[in-house]
Amino acid sequence: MKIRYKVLALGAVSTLALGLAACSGGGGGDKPAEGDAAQIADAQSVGAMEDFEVGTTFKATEPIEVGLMYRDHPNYPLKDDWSILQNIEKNQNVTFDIQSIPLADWGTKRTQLIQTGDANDIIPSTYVADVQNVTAGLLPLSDYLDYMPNFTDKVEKWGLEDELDRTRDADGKFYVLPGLLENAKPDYTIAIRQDWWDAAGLEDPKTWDEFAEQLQVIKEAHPELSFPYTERWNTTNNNQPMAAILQAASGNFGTEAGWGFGDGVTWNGDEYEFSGTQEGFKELLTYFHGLVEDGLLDPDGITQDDDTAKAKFTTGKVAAISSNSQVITEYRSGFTEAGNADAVVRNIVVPGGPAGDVMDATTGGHFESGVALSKDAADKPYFKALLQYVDWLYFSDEGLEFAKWGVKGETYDINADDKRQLLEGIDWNGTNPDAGAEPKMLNTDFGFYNGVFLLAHGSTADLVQSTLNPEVAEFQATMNERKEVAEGGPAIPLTEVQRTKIAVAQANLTGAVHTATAQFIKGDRDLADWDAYVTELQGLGMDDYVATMNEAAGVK
Amino acid sequence: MVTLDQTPDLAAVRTEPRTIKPTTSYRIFTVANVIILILVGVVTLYPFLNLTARAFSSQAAIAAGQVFVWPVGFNLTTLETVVQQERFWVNYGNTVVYTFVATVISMILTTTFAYVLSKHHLRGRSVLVGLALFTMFFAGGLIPNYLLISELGFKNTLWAVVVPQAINVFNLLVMKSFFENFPAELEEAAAIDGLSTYGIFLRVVLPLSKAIIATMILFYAVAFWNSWFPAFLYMDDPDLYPVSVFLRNIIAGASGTGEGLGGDAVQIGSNVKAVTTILTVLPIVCLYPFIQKHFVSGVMLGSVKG
Amino acid sequence: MSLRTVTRTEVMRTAPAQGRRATPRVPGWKRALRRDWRLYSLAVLPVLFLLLFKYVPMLGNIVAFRSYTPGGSMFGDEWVGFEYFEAVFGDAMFWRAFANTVIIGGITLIFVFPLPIILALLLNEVRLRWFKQLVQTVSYLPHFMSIVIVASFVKELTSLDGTINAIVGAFGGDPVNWLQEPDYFRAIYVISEAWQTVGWGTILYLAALTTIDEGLYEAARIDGANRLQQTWHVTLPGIRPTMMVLLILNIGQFMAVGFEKILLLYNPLTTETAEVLSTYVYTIGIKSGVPSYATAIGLFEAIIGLVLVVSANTISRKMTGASLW
Repeated sequence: MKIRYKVLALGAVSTLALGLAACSGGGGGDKPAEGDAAQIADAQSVGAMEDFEVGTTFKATEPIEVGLMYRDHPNYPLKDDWSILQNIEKNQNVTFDIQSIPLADWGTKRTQLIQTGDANDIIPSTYVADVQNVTAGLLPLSDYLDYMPNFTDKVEKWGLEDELDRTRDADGKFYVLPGLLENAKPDYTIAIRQDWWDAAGLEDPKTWDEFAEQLQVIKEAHPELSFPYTERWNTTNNNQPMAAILQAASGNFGTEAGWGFGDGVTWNGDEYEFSGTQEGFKELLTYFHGLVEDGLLDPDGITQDDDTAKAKFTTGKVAAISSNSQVITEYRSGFTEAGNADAVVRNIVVPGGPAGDVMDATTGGHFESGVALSKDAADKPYFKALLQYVDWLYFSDEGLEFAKWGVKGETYDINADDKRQLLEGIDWNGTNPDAGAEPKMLNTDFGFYNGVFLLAHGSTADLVQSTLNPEVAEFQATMNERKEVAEGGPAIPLTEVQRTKIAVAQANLTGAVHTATAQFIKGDRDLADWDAYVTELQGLGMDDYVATMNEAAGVK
Repeated sequence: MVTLDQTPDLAAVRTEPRTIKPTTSYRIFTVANVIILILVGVVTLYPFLNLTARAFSSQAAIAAGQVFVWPVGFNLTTLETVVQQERFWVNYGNTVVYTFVATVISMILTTTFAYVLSKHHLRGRSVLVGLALFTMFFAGGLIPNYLLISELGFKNTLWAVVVPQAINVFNLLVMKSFFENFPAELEEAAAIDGLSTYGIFLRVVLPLSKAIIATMILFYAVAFWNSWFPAFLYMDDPDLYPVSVFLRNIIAGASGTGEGLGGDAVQIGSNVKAVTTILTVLPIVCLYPFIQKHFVSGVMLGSVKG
Repeated sequence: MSLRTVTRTEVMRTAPAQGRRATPRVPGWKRALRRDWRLYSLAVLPVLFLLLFKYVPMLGNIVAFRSYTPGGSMFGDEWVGFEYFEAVFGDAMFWRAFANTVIIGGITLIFVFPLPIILALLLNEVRLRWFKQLVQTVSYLPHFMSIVIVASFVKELTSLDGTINAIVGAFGGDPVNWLQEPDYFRAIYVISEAWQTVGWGTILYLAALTTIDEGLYEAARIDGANRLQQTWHVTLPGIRPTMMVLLILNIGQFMAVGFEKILLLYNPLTTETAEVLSTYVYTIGIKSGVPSYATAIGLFEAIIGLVLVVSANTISRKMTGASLW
């Protein structure tokens, strides 16, 4: 009894989902109509403030109820009596009609609700790429920037116009207000056993080659290890090997790989070229293949589950593994549970490569998960107030601080060091030394620091840093200091015709590159056969693909 | 009219009267059979025992690969984390209700339709079979289904979960096959006795088809018990979800499928998948023995009164 | 009616025909309705159900042929026709996925389909009631394990320091990460399918076994048949209708090779043999900007399935007399 329903369903939803947006590309699509600002009629201005600008606290002039698509995270399930909801009702005069969707398949349901026109007004936790193909059901927010002073202010202040333009569609509009970051937040890197590195007299590697040498030293010093280094993040987000570290490393090799591979083309200063055949890409693969060949990188790491990888690290079978600021805590608790009190874990700064110390455009970007609005919101009587509310909560300093920290005196206060600190008895991720025995959680019990109401951890450097533990703060500061950010290149607004033309080629090329990456690194395929690989890609339509991308980008 | 209500002891039937002595080859076969079956039992039981052991073992032991069939570092932490949430119990209750209602509806529709389809003399029968069979291959797709359920006002109600999947064509066709092989003499005898079609169906065919009915109840109940997709699709109120959606969500949260907001990942052991499996499986596993006793032989031709 | 001695040939002839009626003359509509209105009445609800919940949404499937404009009706605006199908058939990766689907589906059918039957027959031979029920109950436990769990078991077993390599090592071989080898993927998939479905599959056959008339066994035994001959001449024919129905249905569904399990077990090193139509549709669906490409593939799969079922049904009817309709 096989359930084909699911297969066809998935097939249909994805296709239909994409269909909506593919057709939204509609007329023209040559020059973005940037100057088109829409006006909001009085009928849609119920509850809107007269003079709303940067620095104003939003309060609807009459109580309004807006629709909210709520992403239900099991760690902090929605409670009706949450402080955040009560405060928003009291201070902003806004209540919510909630559409609750479990985290587990949030993306699928969000897409489907947008397509069927059933999506509630506010759609949070959304990346630009997530909804690229269903923009027909979304509000073209670029038309309403006049009503969102906080957003436009930050974009200007932090110089994000170019990056924002890159998110525009073929019709010149954008549909998602991304979470804005004052400073880039690189997160992924490698975690090492600091205690072993210290014992061997090694310091943080400055280059990838140095890292390889260090791994060799560790291998000799610890013969009980199966391999000095293993990998993870092979199965999350597209079937591709070692996605996190390849992205983190790729910038330093002058290319884009791993999760950063994206649409498969990298800007080389003059035009887009196919990432998978760049010289830098080959060097990247050669490097990691070298690690496998020398017995330094665990070949299982190319395909294994995250849990298996983690277990290898915490039981002392390997000395290094990919990491980020969240999983390093997991590693540490893993060591504690295993009774290993000597292990010290540290995230190193990403080493530099042949192209220097560079972060690829995505890693060094300033956008995070953001908020979109359903197209139907424009017809609601409270439309203008809705825009103001969204602008205030998600983009004003005051709103961001509120969404992250809560209410001064109720959840936090300013301590002796002039820093914000949670009150006694309240904790979040172990950051409050005064938390006490069984503290309440800032998110679970009060509703603050919740991805549905808070973007980009607070956006401003001040807010973002305020909850980072010192080592993460130092990591980000060093990364931002040492690395430059690769140039992203101009926007590639594909028209419907172009999108149709390259659709299959893009999918097949990406798949072929991922397979080849895994094969080259493992050694199943010889790097000397690189030319055969390039020919294979050409057979899948690579040249046409790159040409179309360049055409859409307006190159030449 | 005869009904038979005891499980025929095939072993007993075979041993008396015994006109053939068990040959050597038969003895060898019996031994080999037992060995094979033991192997099958071990191979299928071991992973389940391992899973149960993991559900109650410590994280460290699991990571070190020390857990086999017995828990190492016995603890109930992960289990507690899951069942302590109030919503878990609300959702579990939902699952029970949905499963029950859905199974009843499905059995009624499937059994009656299968019976009708089993009558070869019925005009238009092939069309009806084709109508059902066609839906096995072609389906509407998510959007049209969603719009339909929405139009009918079933969203966020029990009906969205129990109605759309009511007839499983596979089950339907299997059941039809069983009805086709139901001895015609019994039905004819009942007709002669003056029973209408309804009567024959309810009083003769159904009682003597316990085996297939029990099987189908099991199949449907298990399918509905584990189903999460329709609820996920057509509902957006967490208190209405079946427990399968809840547990799926816990697992997603545990693997940090969130956005690395740090502290976002549910602080739950890596054996959460094992725990959720145990929670979902146990009731069903307990159900089977009750079904088993209904696998009676429906008919004994030799006992039909002349 | 008393039991008379049944000769072996009679057993062989009557057993396969168990329950088979002679095909009667089908009457005209008026007569049919008059005679069978009660039967038709029983069919009303189910047919309505099918029409409403299956056929109405199916109309929305037309999108494969049409270009979908939002704001327009659900049924699309322009006929774009077979352009999408052309794209599909010209795509080499599609054919690769198709080939893999056929191969994996075929292997599954050949190896996995007979197993529940064999197990049911073996169980049937067991005299100790408790042993039989124990093995039966235990054997269907794998069915309840979610695909995610099964996949992680498989990964563990096949990893470099997993059980399989431990055994290989004991025989002096080198450890291999089996899930990274495209040549072994099919075997691993089929074996895990077998493991997961064999126990559950026996339930239906065991139910079928209970419908076999005891008298036939007695007659055969009196006739001098040993167990093996009894199995061949009474048991197998007795469960043949069930077998054939399941076989036909499985043939029809053989293109629907397990989407979720393959998605969990495959990786970039094995896509060459592991990528099947359902996962390919999933990949294309996520990445491509073409609305109907994936639906076109879905339709193609469905048509093939339907053709297979009809053919299998016809062949079955000619060869064994059992068929779906």
